[in-house]
Amino acid sequence: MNDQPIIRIQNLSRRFGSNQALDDVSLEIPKGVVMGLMGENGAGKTTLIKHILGLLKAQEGSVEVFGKNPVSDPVGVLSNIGYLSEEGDLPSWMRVYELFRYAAGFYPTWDDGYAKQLTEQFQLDVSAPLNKLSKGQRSRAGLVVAMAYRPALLVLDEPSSGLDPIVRRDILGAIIRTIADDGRTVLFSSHLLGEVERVADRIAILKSGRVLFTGELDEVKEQHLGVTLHFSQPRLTPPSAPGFLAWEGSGKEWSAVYFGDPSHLTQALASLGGEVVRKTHLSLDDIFVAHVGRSPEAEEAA
Amino acid sequence: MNGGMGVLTSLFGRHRIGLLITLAFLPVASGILLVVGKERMPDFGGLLVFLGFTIALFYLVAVFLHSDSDVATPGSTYPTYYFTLPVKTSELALWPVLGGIVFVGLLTFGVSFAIDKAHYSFNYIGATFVVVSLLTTMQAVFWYPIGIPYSKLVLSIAVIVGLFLLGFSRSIWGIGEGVQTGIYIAVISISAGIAWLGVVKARSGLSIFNFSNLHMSVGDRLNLPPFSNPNSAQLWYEWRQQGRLFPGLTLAFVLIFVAVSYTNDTLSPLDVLATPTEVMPTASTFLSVFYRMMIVLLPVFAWVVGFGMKRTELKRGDGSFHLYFATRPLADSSMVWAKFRVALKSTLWAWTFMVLATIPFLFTPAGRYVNGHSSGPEGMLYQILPEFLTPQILVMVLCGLLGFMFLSWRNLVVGLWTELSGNINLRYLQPFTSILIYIGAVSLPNWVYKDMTWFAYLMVGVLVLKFACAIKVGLSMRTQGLLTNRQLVLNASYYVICALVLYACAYVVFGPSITEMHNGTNPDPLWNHLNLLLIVLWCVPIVRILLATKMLSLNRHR
Repeated sequence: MNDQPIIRIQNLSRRFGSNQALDDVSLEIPKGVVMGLMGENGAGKTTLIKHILGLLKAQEGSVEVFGKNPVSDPVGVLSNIGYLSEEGDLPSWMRVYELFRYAAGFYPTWDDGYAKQLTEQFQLDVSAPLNKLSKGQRSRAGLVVAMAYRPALLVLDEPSSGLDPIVRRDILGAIIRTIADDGRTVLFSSHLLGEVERVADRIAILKSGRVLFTGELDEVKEQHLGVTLHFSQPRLTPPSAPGFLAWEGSGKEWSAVYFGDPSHLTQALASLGGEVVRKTHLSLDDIFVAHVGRSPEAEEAA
Repeated sequence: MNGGMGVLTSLFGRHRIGLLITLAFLPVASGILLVVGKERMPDFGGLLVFLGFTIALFYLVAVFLHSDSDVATPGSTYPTYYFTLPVKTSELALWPVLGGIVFVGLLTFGVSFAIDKAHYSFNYIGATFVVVSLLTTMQAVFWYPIGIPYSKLVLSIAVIVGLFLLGFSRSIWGIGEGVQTGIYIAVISISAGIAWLGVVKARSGLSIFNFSNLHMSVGDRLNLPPFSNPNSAQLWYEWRQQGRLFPGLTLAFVLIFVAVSYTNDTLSPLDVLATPTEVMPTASTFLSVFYRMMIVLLPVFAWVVGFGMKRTELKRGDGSFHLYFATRPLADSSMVWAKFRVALKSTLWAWTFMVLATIPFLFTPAGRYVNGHSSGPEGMLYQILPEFLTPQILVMVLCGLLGFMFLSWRNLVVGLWTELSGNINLRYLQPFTSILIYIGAVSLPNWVYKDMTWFAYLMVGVLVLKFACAIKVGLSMRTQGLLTNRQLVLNASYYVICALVLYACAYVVFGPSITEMHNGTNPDPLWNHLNLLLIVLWCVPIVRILLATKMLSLNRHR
């Protein structure tokens, strides 16, 4: 991997009226990785992506894509980005072949053969007007446009939101093929965590405009363990200890998610005074819920 | 509240700002008209007040058209969201129709009444019927799912021409007032019925025709070459998206006009080609009277089109750009430049249609007008006309044509800055403010000082402000990296060249009459060479041209 990150976001903050959409976000995305951006609705994923595309100007902090400011140099940045949004905002009056011809005009690297291959694979009718296509077909057309010039960075904002499993599989397949092409980077936001788990190398979880944590997916999964503890005396409230999230249970048996260095787990458990009856590896879904869906008490404890 | 009333309430809520501005403008402008009166109102001021009223009433008609898509759409423009509500189709259709008839009808009546009371001798009952008929027929045209792209445009023009002829039917065909009123009531009733049926069909997903497959096969056969660069691609996009509307509107208008003109067999003098004391050619009344009106109307059409009859790049909610448009790898200035160029192409096409429309008239009867008498048909127009076309007349006609073409282009692009800003308040406020400034500029000197020499001082003040703003905006855009030094120089050159050419055209067209008038006994203090120059300098936009890029940038990078 190259040392120079494709995307470098430093202390980015953005406010819409009284709503703090992004709060001191710092993130770096190296070249050649698939980055999954996760978060609830309204967590700030789309706002962050719009900053990367230069559609929003940083109120505080800075955004660099390919070492350039996407607001002051939209041509330099957008020429190398393939973008597919969840909004299905392709110009509906165009036919599919018109869309391809129009898009090809902007990118000298447009690969007609690759576009044709994707079109056939997605079973797209190039003569069809976009406004006559189903949502899934429109997403496929958008995906061809986003990928046919083999962009250095592919940005997908909730690409499979509201789509059927077959279209979702197409989109994931496309991402995987992009990864196979040396040196290309993918940033995609999704709340379909199984999807993220399948393809992402790295993840970042956003909550209320802040990055809760970011890291390699494997590393993140290693740092999270589910533990179930048995206490000698019944407890009315869960124990309070740093590193443990999302306590659940009652009486003598309580479960929690441990977030931290695995080598420190034994020491952390000892401080709680209970006996460990079960330790489990967690899915990304569990990890997400532990962070995003945790109670205020757990948040304070963390 | 019943469902239909809810539809009407949401319609008012959706356009509340525009309606408030219109409701503020109409009484203010009516009040000015009543206080100043026809006698003290300069001709130009009166024209602007009428223009303001026309725009305001057209806006109200547009509001009650209650549409969610543009004139190009093949289906119904009735907002589909309402079809999901548990409201009867009859209520969905008839409440906006009835609300429009009452609201627009009463306002038209009030405004027309004020015009009449200001001694302009206006038929306020007839005007009310015309506007209400226009509203209901447009609702029928726009809500009925015809299934052919742009068919609404053609039908709208046919309806406007039809209502225009109906308005003059008493003088053209000599029909009685009662018959004319009966026709209006029939038109309104039938249109309301068609509008209702249109909503019924649209709610069921039906349309009369389905031409998409035919168009598909044509499109399939086209093996178009790829675009050579991003600018070419964007020009194509702009032409398809925005550019065809103005020439299309002109073509449809011209075709209907030419077709209708064949029903006319009267001759009228072409007085633009000679002074009234000389021998003049005569030609079809439609050519000599209404064609002139069409020429003046074309810049007005351009203004309406440029003001955003078709604004599909912007989201309806927050006025921001659709992401696909905003993420094109093009500089902000290139995006705006494409719009300016396409506006020029639209203008050229529209005026080409307009000029071509004169060809059929060359093959219609014509004669001569001598000492106040028409000689009757003496041959075809192409046989009579050459003897009157002196080099001086030809130069005047060409200069006039160039001037009107420039005005059309100007009107297509001056509203872009508000459009691209995505700010709905700015968008609605700007034209009304402009009209009030125009009215003020031509009314105040006469009204307050009783001295039209103040017009020149007022204009000089406005121009100083304009140039100061242009310098300020230009320099700030350069600082922000939106304009390079070369682009700044190009913008300044554009202004100087356009102003010089337009002034030369205006001098050729109006210069002789101004000189002649000032050599006479009763010179008009407003109409002189200095004011002509000042008006030209005012007409050529520069701040709004610069602001278009600035606003697009602000909206694109919020």
